[in-house]
Amino acid sequence: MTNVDQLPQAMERYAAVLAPDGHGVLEGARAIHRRRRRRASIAATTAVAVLVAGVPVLISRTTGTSHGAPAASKAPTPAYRQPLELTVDLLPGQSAAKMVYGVYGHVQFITARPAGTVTSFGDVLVYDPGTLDTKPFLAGDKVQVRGHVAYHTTTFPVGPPGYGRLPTSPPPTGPVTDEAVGWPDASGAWVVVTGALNLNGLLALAENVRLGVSSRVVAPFHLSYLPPGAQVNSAWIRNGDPTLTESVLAIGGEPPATWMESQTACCRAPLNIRAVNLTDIVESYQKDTPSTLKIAGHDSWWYTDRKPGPLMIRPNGASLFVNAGNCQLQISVGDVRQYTFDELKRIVEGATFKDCTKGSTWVPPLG
Amino acid sequence: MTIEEFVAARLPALLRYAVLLTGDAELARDLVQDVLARAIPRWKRIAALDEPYAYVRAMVTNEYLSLLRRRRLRTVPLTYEALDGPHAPTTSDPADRIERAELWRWLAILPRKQHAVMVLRYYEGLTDNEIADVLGCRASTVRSYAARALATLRVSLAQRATSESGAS
Repeated sequence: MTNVDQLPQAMERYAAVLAPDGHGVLEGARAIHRRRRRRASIAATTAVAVLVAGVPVLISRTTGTSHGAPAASKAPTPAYRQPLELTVDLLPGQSAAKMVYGVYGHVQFITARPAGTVTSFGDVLVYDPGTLDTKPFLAGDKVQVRGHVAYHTTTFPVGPPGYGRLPTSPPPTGPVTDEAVGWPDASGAWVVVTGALNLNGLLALAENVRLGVSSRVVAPFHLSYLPPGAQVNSAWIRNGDPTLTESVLAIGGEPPATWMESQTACCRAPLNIRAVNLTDIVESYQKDTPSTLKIAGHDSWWYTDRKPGPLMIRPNGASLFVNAGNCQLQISVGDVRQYTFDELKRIVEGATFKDCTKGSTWVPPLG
Repeated sequence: MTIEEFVAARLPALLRYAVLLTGDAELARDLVQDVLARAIPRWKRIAALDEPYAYVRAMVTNEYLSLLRRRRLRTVPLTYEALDGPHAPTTSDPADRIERAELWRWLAILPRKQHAVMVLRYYEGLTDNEIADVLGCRASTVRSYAARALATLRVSLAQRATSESGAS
């Protein structure tokens, strides 16, 4: 541009080259709108609750009588999905199969393994609307997934700084990152595929992702009792192979913040409920110590001793093992003062069990 | 007109307008997304207007100005080298890149309202009265903003011409 008259053309060229792609903008706007509406609704509910709670207090103060204030209304749940609801799956009969799946916090996940002759594998993560920092993707390269625009990045954060670092490694300079492909769904949720060997592997797995289905996390047990205030922060289910099934509910505490941390969430949560199918290996833990404890008619073991071995009792922690049918229920706690033996016994007494080797018989573990 | 129809027809234009205001593709995208989020609940009324695009464009302009009021935008004048970075869009013609860098360097130093006036006048092709409606000021104020901005541009162009002739 050499003079002012060329300004319109210069702006035209500048805008045409630098303007971002509009893909996902309306979906993002809808997600923001939903979030704001929800916040407004929560604020209104809270205001009403405060008002409702305040009136009896005022009355009791003025009349000298004592009444319990009514409980505040429960805040509205997010519209996108329920905590143990899944909206993602892999296309049936395709090249990848679910090895492990579950949820943590606002994220659903599937770890896929190769099946058939194609070697697609990796991890599929679906973030609830508005819960993913999309900057690494939007700054990445555009690729195509099933005819839609997706983004390829090599800096998707999968773990906190230094996660999994050897003591001899240099100090971490930032979060652990990995290559990933991500795209927004019309619902505002973001799908992220990571953990494959390379971009071709990511795209092959991405082609198999199906979003919009609705299903529930299932397990070989159903619990009719949980200690008051206990909330599931993550669930981890492996039921593709009948010879090795496992389902874990991590309860209490904060949900894992990153994908890598979610894989060990079971070991850190204050209360973990895990069911595995009884195998020789599993039974060998107890073969030398016959059960002297029966809970709801099931052989049970109560461990509080931190002896070296596979049980990994945490400091102040304990584990209750229960053999029920072809399942072993393993309940472990981080602090036995928070979740006492009597509470854990009550969980088992209220539980029903399915066939641990037949995923088709499994049921939602709660509710 | 539904918001989907509006977005299908007008979103690219809104994004181009926003990138001229912000100089940053991601910020432009965020800005337009935020404006659409606010437009969704009142879309019925916006769609009933004669010019829904003009209304939404005014929302984008105001959002840009209030964004600047809330927090100062980090508008870094881009150099040729910066444009050549790994994430910068590139074209086959380096002259184009130099021109874009210069244009943005000039727009970025303008005060925010002068900047908006320049984009509305020379990119969107609005009259001074229409710009005054968007900015909520008088047409004479718009003319004043435009005159000052153009004076700045002329000085910049003259300085560049002097330095180029000195270099050769």
